[in-house]
Amino acid sequence: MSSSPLRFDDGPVQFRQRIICSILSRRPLLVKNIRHLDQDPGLRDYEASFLRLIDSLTNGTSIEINETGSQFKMRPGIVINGEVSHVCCVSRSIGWFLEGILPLAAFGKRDLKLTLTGVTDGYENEEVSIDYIKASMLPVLKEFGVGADESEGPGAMLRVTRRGAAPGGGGSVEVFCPMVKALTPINIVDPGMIKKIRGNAVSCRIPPTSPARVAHAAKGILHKLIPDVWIHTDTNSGSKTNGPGGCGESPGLKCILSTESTTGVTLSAEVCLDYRLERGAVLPEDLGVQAATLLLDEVRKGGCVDSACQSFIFLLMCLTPEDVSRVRVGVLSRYSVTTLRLLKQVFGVEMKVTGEGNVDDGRDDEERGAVARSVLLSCLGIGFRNVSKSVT
Amino acid sequence: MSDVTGEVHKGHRKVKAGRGAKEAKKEKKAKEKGTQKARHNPRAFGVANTVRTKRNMQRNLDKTHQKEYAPQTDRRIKFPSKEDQTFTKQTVQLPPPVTVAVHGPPGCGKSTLIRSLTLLHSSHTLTTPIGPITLCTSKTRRVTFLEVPTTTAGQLDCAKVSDLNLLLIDASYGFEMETFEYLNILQTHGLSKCICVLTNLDSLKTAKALRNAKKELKQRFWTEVYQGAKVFCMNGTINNKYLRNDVSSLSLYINRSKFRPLIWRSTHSHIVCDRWEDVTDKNGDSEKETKKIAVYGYVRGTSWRVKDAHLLGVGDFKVQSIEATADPCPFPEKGETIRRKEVNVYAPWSGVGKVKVDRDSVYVEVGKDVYTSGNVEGAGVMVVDLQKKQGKSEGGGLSIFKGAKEVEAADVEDIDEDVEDEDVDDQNDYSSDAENPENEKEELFSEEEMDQNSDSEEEESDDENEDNGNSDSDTPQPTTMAWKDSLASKAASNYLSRHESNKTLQSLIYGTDESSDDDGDSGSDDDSSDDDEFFKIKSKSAEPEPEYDREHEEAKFRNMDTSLPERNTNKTNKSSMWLEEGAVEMLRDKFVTGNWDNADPDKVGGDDDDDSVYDDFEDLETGEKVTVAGDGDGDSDGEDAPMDDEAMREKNAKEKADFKAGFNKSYDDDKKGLKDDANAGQEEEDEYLEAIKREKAERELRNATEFGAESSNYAGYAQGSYVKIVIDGVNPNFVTTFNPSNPLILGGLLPSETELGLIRARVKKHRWHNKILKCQDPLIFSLGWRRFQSIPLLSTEDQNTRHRYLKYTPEHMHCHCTFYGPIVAPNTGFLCVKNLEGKLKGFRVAATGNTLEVDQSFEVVKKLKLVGNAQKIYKNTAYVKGLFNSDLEASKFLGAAVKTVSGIRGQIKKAHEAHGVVRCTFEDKILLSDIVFIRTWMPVNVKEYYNPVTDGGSWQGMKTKGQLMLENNKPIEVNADSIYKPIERQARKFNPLKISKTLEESLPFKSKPKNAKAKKTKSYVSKRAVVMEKDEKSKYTFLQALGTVRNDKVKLRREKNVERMEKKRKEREKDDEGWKEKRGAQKKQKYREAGKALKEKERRSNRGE
Repeated sequence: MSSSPLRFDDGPVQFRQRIICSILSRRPLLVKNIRHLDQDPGLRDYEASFLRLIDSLTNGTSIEINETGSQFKMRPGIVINGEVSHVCCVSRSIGWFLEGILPLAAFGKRDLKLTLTGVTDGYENEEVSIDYIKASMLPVLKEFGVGADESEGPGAMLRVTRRGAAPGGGGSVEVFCPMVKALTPINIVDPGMIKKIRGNAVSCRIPPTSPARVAHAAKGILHKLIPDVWIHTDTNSGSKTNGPGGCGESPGLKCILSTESTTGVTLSAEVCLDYRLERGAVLPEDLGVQAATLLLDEVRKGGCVDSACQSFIFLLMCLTPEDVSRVRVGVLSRYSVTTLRLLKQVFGVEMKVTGEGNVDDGRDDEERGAVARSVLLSCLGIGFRNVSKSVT
Repeated sequence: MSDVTGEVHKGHRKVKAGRGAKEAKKEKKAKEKGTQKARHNPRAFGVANTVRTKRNMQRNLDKTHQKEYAPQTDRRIKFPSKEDQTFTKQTVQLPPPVTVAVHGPPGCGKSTLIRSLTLLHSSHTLTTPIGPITLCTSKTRRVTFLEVPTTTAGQLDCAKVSDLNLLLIDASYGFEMETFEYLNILQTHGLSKCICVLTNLDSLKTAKALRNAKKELKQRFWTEVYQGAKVFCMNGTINNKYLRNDVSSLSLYINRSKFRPLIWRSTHSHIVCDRWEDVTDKNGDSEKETKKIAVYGYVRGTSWRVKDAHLLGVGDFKVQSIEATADPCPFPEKGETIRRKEVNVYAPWSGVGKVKVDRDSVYVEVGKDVYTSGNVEGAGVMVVDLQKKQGKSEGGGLSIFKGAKEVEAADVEDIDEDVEDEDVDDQNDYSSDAENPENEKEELFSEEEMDQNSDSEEEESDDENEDNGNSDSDTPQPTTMAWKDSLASKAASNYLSRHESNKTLQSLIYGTDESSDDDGDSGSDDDSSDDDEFFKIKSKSAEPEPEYDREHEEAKFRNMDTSLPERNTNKTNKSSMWLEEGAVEMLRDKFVTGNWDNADPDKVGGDDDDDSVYDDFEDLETGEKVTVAGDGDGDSDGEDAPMDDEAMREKNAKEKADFKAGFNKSYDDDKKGLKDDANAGQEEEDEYLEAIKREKAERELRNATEFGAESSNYAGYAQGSYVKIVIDGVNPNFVTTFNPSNPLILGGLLPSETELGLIRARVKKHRWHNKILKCQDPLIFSLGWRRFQSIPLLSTEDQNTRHRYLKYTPEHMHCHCTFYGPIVAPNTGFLCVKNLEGKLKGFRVAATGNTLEVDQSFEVVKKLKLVGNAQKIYKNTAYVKGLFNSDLEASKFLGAAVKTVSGIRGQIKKAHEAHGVVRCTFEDKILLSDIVFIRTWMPVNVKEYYNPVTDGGSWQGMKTKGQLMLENNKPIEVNADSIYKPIERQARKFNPLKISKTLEESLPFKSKPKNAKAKKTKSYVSKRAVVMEKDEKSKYTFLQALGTVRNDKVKLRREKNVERMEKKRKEREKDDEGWKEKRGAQKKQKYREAGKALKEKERRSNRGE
């Protein structure tokens, strides 16, 4: 009388997704060999912080970590959500935490009102940032019917109340996500034609000219393709450390760009200043150009979702009612492929993959050539229903 | 004026004066002359009467609105219509048989009805219909008849799967409790359609009695179900079967009725098992504790995709394997109509069946005759004998000679062509199950291998890639357009190599089917492989690593857990290709500024003027210029299939035609839209509904067409397919005690439903159940597929959302109930019974309800009053003892509100000493005799008890203490504290109120105590003598004289009055004496007459008039 546990013994690979899948499928989770060869074995501080976040979002979750931390067991509870605030570990940005728990956001007993504090900018090379989540993932949630009906209340929202760059952190984000009974299937196959590009250049404790230079450089490239480019600049000064509009201790500079097409498809790319580099190593112009080229890369890859959003959309496709969902993606990222395998293992859902697409194997674009063929993925949802939602 | 009786009434009078008369006159005149003016502008009088028109419009709108309904999602497979050109029975999945449950109290003719219905459609006469009976009743419908057993468990199971219920009622007796119970069970588990069938009508002798019985029963049934529910009458029997006409009219209705989709059934696949086999591996331990069984049946509800299943009345099981087998009761192929002789009846338990040779068992073909073990001859005897010897439980095949090698059923006779040739070992034919960790692992192995292969075939391995990337970044590329040079050739080689390696993206991700099949054998050897490395198959980690590079590993793990694509972070923007002159032009067509004709999602990358290389590539893809060897496989989708010129031309022509048709339609629609501009509001409403319907239709089309023939890979075993499901770990008791007259149902469980948790539900005692239910008494729940015993905790929700514990269910109200059980989605109906076995009087359904919420903990609280006494009192402060037992306990209640019985409120300030004495302050000084209490709420824990009910008589449920006492003949325990005793209250003595002098003085007179005593001595005033003046005296005397005169007058008057009244009384008495005789005579006369009339009446009644 209990579902078979999910066992993994390859360490902290896909750490967040495994936990999320375990909670959604209500199957116990066992992860072994977490950095067991390391001098300092076990879970890292950010992973422990993520587990604490999961614990505060759920009721009845029991997490057992062994002495060295190289193994942990989890028996999932019921997702509650509601008003939760969590201090995220500064060794990863808030985006990493938020991206992890986002699939749970709509499946709680109550609407999610989450306040996360920590690093808002600065690790974009390693994980998606909150701006990216706002630009790319929240619209996806809406496609799945989360907050789609405006008469029933506001949809999923994300508000940055305070910026905090790496490594100091000190930023704060408010997330709201309404709960739903069930998702609706999607059919996103037409990428359409890009009609406009929007962006945001954010700086913390850096003179306001820098974000302007970033925006200017990015526009220099993008204007060749389309005139409708608008990049906001958002300057946060350190003088108002504690007040609104203030920011954390560390300086930072980042830029996020997203396209919008005639069919409502958005593709996003972002880049930020690496805080480890010495001063002057990267000019704001370089950053702007880099952001623009990354965006063009995303456009080149084609598809209706950008590469970092793929795994998220695949998971949600699995959780739809028993209807066919279809999505066209560009180049399948490695992470997405492992996600697809995980989904088959956990939910037994195999996606139909049509098309001569590529798997992103880390090769340079030059080698692969400029042409990317999109892949059409379709699957039948498992008929997932928000069990924790109560009937009044 | 005349009404129906022909009577003439007076009509309205004509107006003879005033304006109306004038007008009428004028009109009459004009009519005669022929100069009457017609209304020239009829449109102007379109709304002659605004109020009426408004009402009319409103009425019409209301009527149309009533007809609207929210489209329900119906995922059931429908029988394809005749217009559907693509329909052939081989390609289209046909719906499963309709489950018809035949219910009724014992002896009301259930078997007779099934027998009659079977004979009506086929040439089979069933002697004893047992178990499910499946047959084709028309060209488009198959039906499975289930006879509902009279046990509560059987009724529960049948109600969960039936599409249509025939409720049989013995008309000579009337409704019995079983019918009402079954209706109630149906209501809680999704009310499927009900038809009432009245039987034993021939036992009613007179036509009047028959008519009355029919009318009465029909009305009673209607109040129970709905007004106008269908009732059929079976007027007598011939040869133990109902009359043909009666049965055929019922059958017509069964064939034509449609069913609403029910939520539970449309989300849970299930199987009504036609038959089952014991397939326990006998070669192993013969005394194995559990059995392995295979069940057969049609997939119903939704397609079977789940890994967990619940065998009703047996338990939860993992699906070991599932495979599609040949349909034992297919639709007849030929002809417009269905002939009775051709109809297949599949009823393995009733001794009728299309005989099958299967891997596990042998069934003997005996033509259309009824098969019993007695009347088989010839070759059949041998087979039957073998069957007897081998038993049904033989694992793989049939050994004809003793000790000989087993012969595969498929070898002997190739009847099951649909069934794939597979290994004998059941362990190995587990190809479809992704959950099997062994298989899973193997698949991944293979796919990783392939990954490596393809990598090596295409280009370098991953490691090298990374190195490459780094080197690139270190040395920026000197040439500007170098990347473009060999693009075409690279792409071509890339493409070719991909085709040569013969691997699609699908197989790259999930692994190929062949490899997983092959690995099945080797994978089953050890069980410990569960714990084996799962992802270690990665080439990097699989190899023993010479040194552990911490930095590298850390970064790897960090990157392993990010959704970002692998990005070369060190790369500066200078090396990006987008900075080259004109490079961005490639993407031009992806923007609105580009060429809109190329906005084909699959045509990525521009085919611009200068980029002829891409043109080549396009050609490559369509296979025009480069012919690719071994190209035809893989792509199931037509999208990427190569096309020749002819096909291309056809495609273009079709596209053009479609475009034209689309334009024409939209043009017409636009025109229409212009016409009915007036009904814009109505149209908007319609549009909304239309949009919903359109969306639904699109979704259904997508569902139907997306996966095509290989649907079972992605969508499981579709409804209507006949499957064999093997489950392991079945209690051997099931095999020995199975009774085929109880339906065997295998219900699929969704992933979350295998877990246990706390469920809160809204519940109501059934008003026909004779007792209220006690909190924490075990009850048997029927929830979802399951029946289980659990302990409910009753509570009610107070206004401040507190859940307060209840000792009993309210008599006529809902209450909340929290219990421990398998998790189900909220809003699922359930019912409770006290006992499934044994004879219970009255209505057995104790309570019904539906689930509200699922959680891991719920708070239900019980009121607890802690009572203490004052130990020492100082002004408003008091030390109170007895509330707590220790100072630790007391310290938890600091700040809590306390109260005395007299209503003085206070607060706990501090734990004073040991033994739980606390210092409290009150709003007033309390008395030593006052009782101090705290009102607290104690959480009550839900008892985590879950005991699934199994059939077969061996189940033992929890009993209440009362039951145990009764069984063991012991007296009921009495708690002395619970006995009510008369309350003896001493009359309280209050000390006199003392008010200090100073206070008394300062009080206002009103509040002063008035306790002056009456004086005993006479006062001075009363004692003194009064001497009047002369003048004063004369006045006094005069007044006295006046008083004397008046008194005398009054006295006289009174005397006169008395005298007069006496006189009057005497007169009246005299009068009365005169009348007395007369009145007496009158009375006597009256009574005499009354007596006479009574006598007369009696006499008449005796005569019988």
